[in-house]
Amino acid sequence: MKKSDKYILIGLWGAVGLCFVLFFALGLNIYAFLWFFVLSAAAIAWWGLRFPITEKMRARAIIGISGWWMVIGFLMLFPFPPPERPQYVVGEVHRFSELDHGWSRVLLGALGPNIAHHGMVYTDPKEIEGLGQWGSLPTFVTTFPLTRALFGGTTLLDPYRSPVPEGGDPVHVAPYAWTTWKGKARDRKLGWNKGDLLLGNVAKKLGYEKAKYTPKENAMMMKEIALWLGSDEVGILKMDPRFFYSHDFLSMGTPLPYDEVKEYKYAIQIYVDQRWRRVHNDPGESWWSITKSGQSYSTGAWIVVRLAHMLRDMGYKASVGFGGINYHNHETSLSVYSGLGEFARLSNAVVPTAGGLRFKSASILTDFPMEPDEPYTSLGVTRFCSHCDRCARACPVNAIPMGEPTVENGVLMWHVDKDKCARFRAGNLNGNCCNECLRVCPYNKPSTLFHKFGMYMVKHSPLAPRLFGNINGVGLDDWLEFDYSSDAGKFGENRPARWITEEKGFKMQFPYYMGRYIFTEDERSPDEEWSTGEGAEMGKVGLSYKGIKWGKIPERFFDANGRHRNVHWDWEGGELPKTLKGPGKSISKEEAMALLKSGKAFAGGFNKKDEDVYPRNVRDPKYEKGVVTYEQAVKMWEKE
Amino acid sequence: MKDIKIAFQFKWYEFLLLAIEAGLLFLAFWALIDSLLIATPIAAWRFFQFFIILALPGAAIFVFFKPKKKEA
Repeated sequence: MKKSDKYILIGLWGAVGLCFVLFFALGLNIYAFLWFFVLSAAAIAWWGLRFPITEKMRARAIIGISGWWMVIGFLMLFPFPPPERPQYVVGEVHRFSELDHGWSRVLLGALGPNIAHHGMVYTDPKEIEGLGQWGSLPTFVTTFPLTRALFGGTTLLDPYRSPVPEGGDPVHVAPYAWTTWKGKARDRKLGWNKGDLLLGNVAKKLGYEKAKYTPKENAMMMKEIALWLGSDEVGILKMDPRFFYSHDFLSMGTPLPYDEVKEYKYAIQIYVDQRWRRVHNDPGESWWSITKSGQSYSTGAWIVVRLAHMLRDMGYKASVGFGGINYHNHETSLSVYSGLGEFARLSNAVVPTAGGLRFKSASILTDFPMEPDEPYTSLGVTRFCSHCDRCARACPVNAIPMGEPTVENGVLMWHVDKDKCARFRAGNLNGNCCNECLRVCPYNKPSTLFHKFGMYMVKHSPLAPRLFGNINGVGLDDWLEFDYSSDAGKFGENRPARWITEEKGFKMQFPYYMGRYIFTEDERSPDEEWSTGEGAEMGKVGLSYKGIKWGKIPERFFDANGRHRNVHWDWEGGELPKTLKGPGKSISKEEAMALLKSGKAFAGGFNKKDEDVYPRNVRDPKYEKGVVTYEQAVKMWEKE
Repeated sequence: MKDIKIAFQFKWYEFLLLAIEAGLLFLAFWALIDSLLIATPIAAWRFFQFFIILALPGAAIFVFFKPKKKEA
């Protein structure tokens, strides 16, 4: 043993201590964590090789490290009760107008003329004329053969959403094949089949074969059929009337009064996976991005349309909602209160059993009595998201909040900047739409036993969300880099983001009249200046691609006037003309008031005062004044 | 034909550490195979490294941190 051996040993333990401090000081830094173990092993080995060790010392060391691992194992594996689900409703909650949806605002021109004409940028000019026969501008969903096929599939099913128009939606109702009844439902109830027999595995669980139509049995049958038809997950819940949109997008503003939907007390929520195979193998901002939505939307639509028709034929009322934007209600709340998901950092619901965010949902609203799932199931998602910001870091336009949840429309949750998000998705100049957030979400893994093991720990363990979380870009998932590890290799990486901007100095003129809806000053985007390229930065700060660092938009993307050029990467011929006008028109306040008062136009949205909502009957103070919990709203709605 | 005799003798606490190390190794291989099966080779390799690194201090104690044998 030399003197220097002692100094080396002290140095090694000092380095171990430093790693320990850095691990906490740098926000549970994974590199400090791993070096802590490597240097500990080196220090122990050095100690053992260069210094005399007694059996007593060995016993203490082994018991010490075993005890450490047993404590860690206990904290990670013991089935601690998951954290109580947050009470999201903390204030007055008004119905949401579908026209305030990010997509609606883009497509109807409320965010500016350039983004409303986004399809002109990446549609071949020869194609635009052909698409014009549909009476609308080309959009990101009408750009390619596959997107046309997939979204066209959902459009084909629109007339079958409901057998009668509700709130002006669906726009054109068509009879379903072999329908032998008229109106919302058959006047005489029919059973499941001739013998009224249940599906075998449902019968086995219940212990009888002939249907009794109890709510529990009904729920089990609907779930079993939905799973069989291709849904990856199914939830059942009671409706809170505030889940319904106040105004409908497809018919450009038609109001949906409570009276027209009051029979819908239950909802069946189905989920279709966007599939790991594609989400994993394409860059989130690629030209294929939109097709993943289209695949799940069209598959989900076909499942719910058939299920709803079966319910109507059995004598119950049923109306369906599916994507892109053909819903009566906002979907996230249905996912949350069916107990399958929780509000996540992305504002959307993370449903752990459906790939986190890697799904599209569709719903059936019905009066078929079913036992709902437990709406307050704790999944630990919101807690996990508070320790993870991978989606926020990955977002190309920084639309996802990094900090704590905030209150908007009486709901305490993380609120995404929907205008930034929708502008980028519609106006992505290097691809078509975006799914980068769901791609990097740690819940986005195939449902293997190993992944389920991880989700179990995240749900139950108080330690796992901190260790697996990635709040500072140095967590386990950051190190593992699932998103940079695929069969696509370098072709799975994003280019630095660019998106369609408005002309410099752009300011939207309100009131803005489009279809049957009037957008007012309340609906002005908080990102107007940003939308012209001012202060805009790309997400993924610190990463680089071909010498371009994320965080700053490269100079060469701006023209001589400093304008963020509205051309896509590969084809500069598609630059937008500078004199575009929105699809609607700006009118005077007097004209707007006249249209609203005469019932020729409507206005609404959660951010408006009661006196500014038209028509008056889309709000109900019973539900929309004071703090009304989900349970209270459900009970009141049942009695309506 | 010679008999091959293999004899192990562990103290109870050594056996405990061995079980923990075996558990970490099991996780390393499970993570490796699972990640390879879902076509994530980088994640597979890093997951494997992760659990091996976690197992290093225990392995170092087991192998190196012991009284030196007296020479015969």
